[in-house]
Amino acid sequence: MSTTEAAPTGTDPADEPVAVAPVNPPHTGSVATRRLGLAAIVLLALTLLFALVISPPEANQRDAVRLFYIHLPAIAVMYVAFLITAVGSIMYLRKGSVYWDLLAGAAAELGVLFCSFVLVTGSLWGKPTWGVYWQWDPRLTSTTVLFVMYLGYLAVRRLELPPDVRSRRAAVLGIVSFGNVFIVHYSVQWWRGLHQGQTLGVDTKMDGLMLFSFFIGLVAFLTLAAWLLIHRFRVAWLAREVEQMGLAQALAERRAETDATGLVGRSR
Amino acid sequence: MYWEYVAGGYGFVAVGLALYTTWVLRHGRRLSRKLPPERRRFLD
Repeated sequence: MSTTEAAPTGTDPADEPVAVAPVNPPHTGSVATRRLGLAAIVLLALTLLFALVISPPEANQRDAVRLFYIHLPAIAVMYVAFLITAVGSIMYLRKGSVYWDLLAGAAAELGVLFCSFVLVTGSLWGKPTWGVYWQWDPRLTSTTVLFVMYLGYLAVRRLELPPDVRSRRAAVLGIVSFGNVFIVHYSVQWWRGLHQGQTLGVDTKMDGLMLFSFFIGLVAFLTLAAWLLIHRFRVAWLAREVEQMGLAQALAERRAETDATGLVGRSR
Repeated sequence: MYWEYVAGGYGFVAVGLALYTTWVLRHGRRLSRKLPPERRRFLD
């Protein structure tokens, strides 16, 4: 007899099928994230193929132009991540939901990671094209300030403060810091510097294969960032759950100790 | 030409992504094991 069939009347109740609750695995994955992760791996492999093998070198920059296929997608991910932090911060201040706060924190961490990619790949691209790794150009300076501001945001999230106070302070900083994203983006228009103007626009003239390689890189980085964001959010949520469980246990132990002491006191 | 800069940039991004991904996944597993299964309710 199959275990899913109903047991006939008169049999031992212990033999009857029991509804088993689904056992959640001890990790942050799910069917959706596994599919997203697989898509990210395929897209990243395609990016490497197009960026390093198929796309041609540029006339002036030669092979250094290949840094463009990861530099610009990293900027796009950085902007989106900091936008999510700003939106999450606004929503946290409006609704007070801890989920918005956790989302804002997860996105900021991702934004800082991709900001470091932007700074390093930009610096490495600068050496063969400008002749220097670094110069205090408006774009480079404002991007560095952005990096430091969001490092500060992450530091605020680790302060030893009551959780709601810490989250409110982080949310305010998350909103204020986003103002610098506009400065970074428009710095090449507002001030004259070493950095080139905006690469992509309505009148962009770029080789078709180079443009395609860039778009593959953009989609790959955005897919990977979405996958990382989901996992990082779940990790933050788990950390909060573990912290709350620990607090509940500590309170229960304390209560039990107090009760035991009270009993001892009364028995004397 | 200039492949050393390209390798440096791609290498930095690859290592950065690999380290961060490993940390996130391992940290998630460690925290997840501390919770009873019914509290990991976002998972399928």
